[in-house]
Amino acid sequence: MWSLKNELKANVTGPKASLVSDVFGYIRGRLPRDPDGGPTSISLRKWAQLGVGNSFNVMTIFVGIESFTPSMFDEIDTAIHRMREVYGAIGLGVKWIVPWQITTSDADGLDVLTSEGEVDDLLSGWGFDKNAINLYFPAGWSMSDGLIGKSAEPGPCPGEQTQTKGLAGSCVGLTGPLTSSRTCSHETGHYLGLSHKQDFPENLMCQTKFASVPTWKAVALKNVDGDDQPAEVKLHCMVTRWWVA
Amino acid sequence: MSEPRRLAAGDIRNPPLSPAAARELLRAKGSRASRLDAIAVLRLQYDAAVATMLRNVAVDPKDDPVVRACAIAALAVRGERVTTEPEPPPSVRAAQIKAGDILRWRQMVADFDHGTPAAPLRVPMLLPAPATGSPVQTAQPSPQLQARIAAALSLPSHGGSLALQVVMLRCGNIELAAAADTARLNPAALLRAPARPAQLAVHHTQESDYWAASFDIVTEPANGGMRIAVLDLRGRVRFAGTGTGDAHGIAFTLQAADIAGTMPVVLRGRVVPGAFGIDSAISGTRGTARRAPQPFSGPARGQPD
Repeated sequence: MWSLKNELKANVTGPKASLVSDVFGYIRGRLPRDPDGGPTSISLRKWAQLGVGNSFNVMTIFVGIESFTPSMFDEIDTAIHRMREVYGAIGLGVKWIVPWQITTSDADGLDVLTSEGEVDDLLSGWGFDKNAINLYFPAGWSMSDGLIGKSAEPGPCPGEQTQTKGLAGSCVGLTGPLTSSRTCSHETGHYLGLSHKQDFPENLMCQTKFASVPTWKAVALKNVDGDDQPAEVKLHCMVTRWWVA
Repeated sequence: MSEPRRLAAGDIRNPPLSPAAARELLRAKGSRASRLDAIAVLRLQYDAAVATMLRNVAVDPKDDPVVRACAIAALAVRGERVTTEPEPPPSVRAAQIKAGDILRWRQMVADFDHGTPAAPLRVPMLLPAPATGSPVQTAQPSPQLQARIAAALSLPSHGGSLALQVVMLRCGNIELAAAADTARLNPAALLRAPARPAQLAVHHTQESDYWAASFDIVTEPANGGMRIAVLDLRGRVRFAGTGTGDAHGIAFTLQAADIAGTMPVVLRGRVVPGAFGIDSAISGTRGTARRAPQPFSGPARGQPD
């Protein structure tokens, strides 16, 4: 039988456990606000019921860690929480959020991204084959062509990164919580196999440029254009094959 | 070509700022994200005034290091080096290294264009040629597509119009185009002097569908034949190989450099007077390991806002 005590015992290595940090994975140790600043909630009961087949795990990777500020971590927490809400609406949870980092010197110039080619270099040169979607947040994002995120579509399964040509993760620019919260869920949608739906402005997979306003609320996942999006994402190997920590 | 369909896709938005607003924002020292947006807009409006603004940001030790890093890179792409304080923050230091690479690459490409590189090519360890794998398909582009690819190139025209030969390379959903200046495809000359006869363009399809000339192909005489290197936009060798002269031209082979996350590739072809051809190209099925991030060192919990 599941117990919070056992869960924390198995997963918390520090001296003091925090439900918000160690279970829900919010870096700032508090429940994030909505992208527009509104209050949010989360259910421990629902989280406890997540497992193989109804959830996926995420590794958040902070690129150029020395340059991250508290407000950037707030933005990331907001994006992750929004992703929980977006996928929770179709019965797909986000279970473990595990934070990782790349130092600025190791990033070798990929801490501040200024072209799509650099995004490709990051997503093809780095990767961690650990049964969780690799979700990169670079310290700086400055794209002249309007790009705000990019992802493998679909992303590789656990254990298959070396057989994967090109990109093996998802990357989100921290361009402000109203934008990045949607982009985070959108790129994860690509990783889970969803393609663009430009003719459906309310849909999550419509690019932000074409989405209805406010864009952070344009996050529907439905049976559209012959694609059953809720069913499709649940068939991805990151949902069907993950380990339980 | 039988591997599972694997694409990439991204999210885009409208330009967040007008050029005038971007200038104001960069000056005003607002949030990091908005000033990075401002630089993104101003890179496309580059002139003396923008260069001055970027320079001021780049050298200001009190400014946001990430914005400074972005400004340093933007200046380097335009050929300008900036000098910062002796011990800058990590992101500024990393940007200086990147800027140095970009500036060296610019010089190197110009030197190869003139046939006078300062030093021989330094070829890294190459991945073994795969014996089996996915074939890389080659094709000729339509005239319309060739025109689009040509628009992305930066091969020198030497005063006249550039006569190009373009060969498309497709592996899975990765699409590249090798584009050569046919006037430079002179086997005898290539065996005699360094040159930049070609570029490799990458097809990006995420936002607007566009081509970017992401690699330069340079050659130099070596060991009685020819050494070939494919350089990225920081001058790093991503593919390399050799060419051997014979009665008909030059037979060449290219392989991928041993870089994290790279698939082994072998490409064989020929250069004959005024043209090149790809005889065979294979991409392996298992790439090199990707670099692994480190566990988060924290703490971010309870940090002041």
